[in-house]
Amino acid sequence: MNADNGRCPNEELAVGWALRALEPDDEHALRAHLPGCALCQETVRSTEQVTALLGGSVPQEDPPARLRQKVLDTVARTPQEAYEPLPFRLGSALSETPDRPVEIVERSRPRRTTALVAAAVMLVLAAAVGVLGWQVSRLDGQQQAQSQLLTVLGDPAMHRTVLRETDGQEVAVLLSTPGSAAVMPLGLRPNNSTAQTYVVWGLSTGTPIALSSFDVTGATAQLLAWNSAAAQHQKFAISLEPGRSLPAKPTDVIASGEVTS
Amino acid sequence: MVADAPVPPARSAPTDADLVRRVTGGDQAAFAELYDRYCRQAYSLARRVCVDPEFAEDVVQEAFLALWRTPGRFDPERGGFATWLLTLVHHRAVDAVRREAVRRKRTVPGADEVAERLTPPGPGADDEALVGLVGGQVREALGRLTDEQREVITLAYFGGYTQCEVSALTGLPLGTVKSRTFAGIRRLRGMLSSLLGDGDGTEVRTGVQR
Repeated sequence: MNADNGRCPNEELAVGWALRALEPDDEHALRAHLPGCALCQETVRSTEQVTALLGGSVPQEDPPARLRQKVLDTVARTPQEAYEPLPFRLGSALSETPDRPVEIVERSRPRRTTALVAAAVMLVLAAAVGVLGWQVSRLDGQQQAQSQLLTVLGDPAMHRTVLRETDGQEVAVLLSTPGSAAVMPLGLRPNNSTAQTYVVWGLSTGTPIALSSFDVTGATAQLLAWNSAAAQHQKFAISLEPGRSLPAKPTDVIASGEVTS
Repeated sequence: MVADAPVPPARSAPTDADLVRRVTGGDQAAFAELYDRYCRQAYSLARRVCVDPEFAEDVVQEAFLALWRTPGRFDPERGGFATWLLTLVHHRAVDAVRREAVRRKRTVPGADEVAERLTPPGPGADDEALVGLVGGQVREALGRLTDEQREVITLAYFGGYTQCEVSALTGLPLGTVKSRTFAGIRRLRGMLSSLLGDGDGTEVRTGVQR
C-alpha cells in the first residue's frame, strides 16, 4: 500500500532487498509486495544503481585468463532459454529466478519487536553466566554479548539452521558452532521471562533432548549455553515451556529445522 | 577494402545494449565482447565479497552464463548494463558466501581478509573495510556518511551479511539497522547523482574506464 506522499512503508525493505540483505520472512513479504508497488520498484532500481557504483569501485583485479575460455566454452554448449518479461518491472535479481513463483498474496506474519534494550541483553547474558559459569563483568555485558555473537558468526565451523513452523514460516535461525550458539528470532513472540522459557531441542537421537533455553525480548540474537554434544545434532526444534528449567519433554514445539549450511 | 582501412571510429563501437540484443540472437562474439568489457569489474566485486578466488570465478561464470541464457532479463529502460550485471554478480556472490560459508572460510589462505570482514564494528572498523576502495568520488561519498550508516551498508553489501546478522554484529536493533541503511543509501544516491543515470536508462559509470 502506498502512501500519498510518494513514499511507501516498505521502502526500507526495498533497499534491503536490493542489497540482498533481507531475512527470509522479509524477503517473502517484499516479493509479495513489489509487483504492485511502483514506488518500491523504483527504490530497488535506484538502490541498485548506487550499490553498483560501490561494487564498481573496489580494487580492480583481472580474472584468471583461463576463466574467459571456460566461460566461452560453457556458453558454446549451453542453450539459450526463452524469456518472457513479467508484466511488471522487478529488481533484476528477483526476475532472475523465474522458477520461483511470484506470490501475489501478502503472507501474514507475526509482528516483530525491534527494540533492543541493553539491560535485556545483560539479563540474557546473566542467565548464560549462571549456566556456564562464564566470568563476565556486568559492566561491559553488552560488549561481551556482542563479542560472543561475533565468535559464533565468525567461526568457520558455524552451522545455520532455519527453524520453521509446520506451514513453512521461518520463525528463527539457529547459528551454532561446536562451542557456542546463538538464536536469531525472526517471528517469535517475546515470552514472559519470569514464568516461561524458550527451549532448543536436539532431534537427531530419536528422543528430543533439551539443549538450551533462551528468552525473546526483541529481534536481537540471543546467545545460548552450548557444548559440543549439543552441536552434534543435525535437527533442532524450539518450544515454549512453562517454568524456567529445561523439561524432559517438549510440550509445545513451535518450529523445527535441519542444519542447512 | 583498402589496405589502410582505418580503425573504425569510436562512435561505431557497439553499445552494451546493442551487444545484449545480439546475444539475444545467439551471437557468441557479442557475448565475448561483453565478457571482455566487464569481466574485470565482475571478478573484482566477486573477489571482494567472496574473498576466495575460486568462488569468485564461479560467481563470475554463473553471472555471465545467466546473461547468456536469458539476455532478455536485462532491460535497458531500467538502467545501464553495468548496473544490471554488477547487481547480478553481487547477489550471486552473497548467495555463494552464505551457501559455502564453511568451506570458503577454511580455504582462505590468510585469515586477514576474513578477519577484516568480521572485525567487530567499532571506531575505525568500517574505515578499515574501505581501505581498498578506489574511485575517488564513491569513496569520498562513503566517507561522508555517518560512521553508523557506513558500517551497516558495508557489512551488508561487502560483508554479505543479512540485516539480522548486521544487527547482531553491531548490537543495534534490527529496526535501526534498516533505517540507517535506508538513510545511508539515500544520502549516497544524492551525493553520487552526477554518476547516476537519471532514470532514463543512461549508463551508470562504475568508475572503471573502458
